[in-house]
Amino acid sequence: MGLFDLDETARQHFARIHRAALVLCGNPWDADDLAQETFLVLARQGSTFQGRSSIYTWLYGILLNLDRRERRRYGMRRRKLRVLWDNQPADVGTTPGADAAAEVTEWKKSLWARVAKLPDGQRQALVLRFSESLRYEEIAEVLECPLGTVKSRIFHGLAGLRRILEEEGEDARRLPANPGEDLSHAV
Amino acid sequence: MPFDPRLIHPDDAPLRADGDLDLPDDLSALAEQLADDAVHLSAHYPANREPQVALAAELVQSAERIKRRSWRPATFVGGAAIASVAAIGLTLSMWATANRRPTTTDLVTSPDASASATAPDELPALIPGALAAPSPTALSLGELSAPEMEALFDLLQRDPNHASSISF
Repeated sequence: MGLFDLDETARQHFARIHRAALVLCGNPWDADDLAQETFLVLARQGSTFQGRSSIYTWLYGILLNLDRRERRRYGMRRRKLRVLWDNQPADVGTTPGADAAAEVTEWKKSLWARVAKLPDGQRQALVLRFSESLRYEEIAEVLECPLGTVKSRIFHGLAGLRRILEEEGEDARRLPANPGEDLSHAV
Repeated sequence: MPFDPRLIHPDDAPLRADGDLDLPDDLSALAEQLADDAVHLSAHYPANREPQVALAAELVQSAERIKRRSWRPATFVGGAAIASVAAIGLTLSMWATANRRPTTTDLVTSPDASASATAPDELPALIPGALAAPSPTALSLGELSAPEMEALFDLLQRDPNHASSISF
């Protein structure tokens, strides 16, 4: 493969790529596919990796490209699904066995569901910063933009998130510290 | 003036002296909440499958093999298609040449003498019988006066045993 070993790379970085995919696309089944496809691209195009960046920032770049492509390709389908999604109340009481509903509820309680409404640049910057804990320089490398733009996107992404919460009539201070505290039924 | 992208600045975010973002308290709380949510979600929804890197590598290799293998048949099929089209075109061209007939407009409608001069050899095939007989030399309907034309039609009508035709 050249500059890296595919198996070893997958073992080291699959979990983080899966986590980023999860907060990017918002559901576990799409996250699985997105993460797998990222490593499929790595297997196919790994010979083009020249080692100028770290392998995981390169993987994040692949992941974000795939995410953008999927959003474009299935934009209409996603809009249709959103209609169904919005009809699912967030605070509905779930019963054991209603896994799908529990998963939807779980996701809707998290702030990442609101992040999904932000523009692509801000959303991806927030994912890389607060889910993946990348440094600003690494984010700039993945997003291929200047450092100042990264900081601006993060700042305005957070401000946009606050605005969304305000529009929803929620106070950020009233958000539960851990939205999954009462979700033992969903496991 | 050439376009200078540096003229368009992104909205500057407030920065601390160390270059990090200087977030107000509410945005800092949101940032922490995002980090907590990401940890929680990834713990709640771990990857269902292990990374299928062996399968991925095998898929890539087999795709390359198929690509290499499919190149030759595709070349053969393409070549055969081109040869077939060329053969059909050549056959049609030869058939059209062999079946080419002179057009009547070349012979009978031109009033000038040069067109008439070229007509005699072909005229009997087109206007046989009475029409061809009176004048084995050049004949053009454009040269006939109205009474002559009428007489010619009368001659054709009186000879019902001979199939004739006139083209304009």
